[in-house]
Amino acid sequence: MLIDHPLLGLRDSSEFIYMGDAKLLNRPNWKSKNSKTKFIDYGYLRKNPAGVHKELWYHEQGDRSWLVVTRNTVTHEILKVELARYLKRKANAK
Amino acid sequence: MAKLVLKIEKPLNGYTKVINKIKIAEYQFDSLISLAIPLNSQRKCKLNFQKSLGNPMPNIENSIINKSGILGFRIGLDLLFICNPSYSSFAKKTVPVLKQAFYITDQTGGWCGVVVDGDRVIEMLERICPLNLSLKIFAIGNVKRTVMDHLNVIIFRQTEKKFILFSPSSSSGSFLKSIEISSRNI
Repeated sequence: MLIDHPLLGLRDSSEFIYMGDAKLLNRPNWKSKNSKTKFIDYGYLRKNPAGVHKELWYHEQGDRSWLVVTRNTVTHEILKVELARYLKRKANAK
Repeated sequence: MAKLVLKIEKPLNGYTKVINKIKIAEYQFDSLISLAIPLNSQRKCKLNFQKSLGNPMPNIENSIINKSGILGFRIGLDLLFICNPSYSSFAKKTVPVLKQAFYITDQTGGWCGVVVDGDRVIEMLERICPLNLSLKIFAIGNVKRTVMDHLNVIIFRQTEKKFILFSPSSSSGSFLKSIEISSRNI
């Protein structure tokens, strides 16, 4: 499987490590209401869809960047690859 | 009291061999340091890099060789390496200037270098390296971090058929074995 890194181009998936559902980027605020329930959801509950899924991949044997890969888990087709740092900064700026 | 003299030992003891017309030799260097760019300091680091090494800071996966032969390459948005191949005033003069902008880590003992050179070098590398090594994609002066077998490697293309490979010195023996076997099997 090849992952089209936004900065480095097509790279073999053997250079990456799969780090789970991209919902891990959205850590709940510990001060918020029901934070305990939200952290249980954040830590343990996953949708695990058969279809389009946003995933975190770490380019360990590369530039050490974190990517959000939108992948179809049924066909393995990669639909989109984005740098997690940019997505997070964009979300924080809102 | 006996006078002690410290002697540098290279990870591969100056290894040199030719297999299937591919010359494999240890790339010996005096020092290898990593430079990390602090958050929001790109501009300051660019100016500092130019001031210390006399060349503009390379783009991602590109390199520079300055007039003293110092090799600098960038493998990520905020990570660069500088390899100084010869004994010089680098540590005393250049490093203190770089420290004014970058976070610096001395990694000299952590890496070993291997030069592979020859007409069939691409055939040898294709067996162990997942990168596309065609000149259009991986041009002269390009550098990438990748894996060869299961080992972490930084690959630098010096000429069309000459590459310098850097791999952790702790696994240098396994890395060399992997290169030797691939060279024999082409």
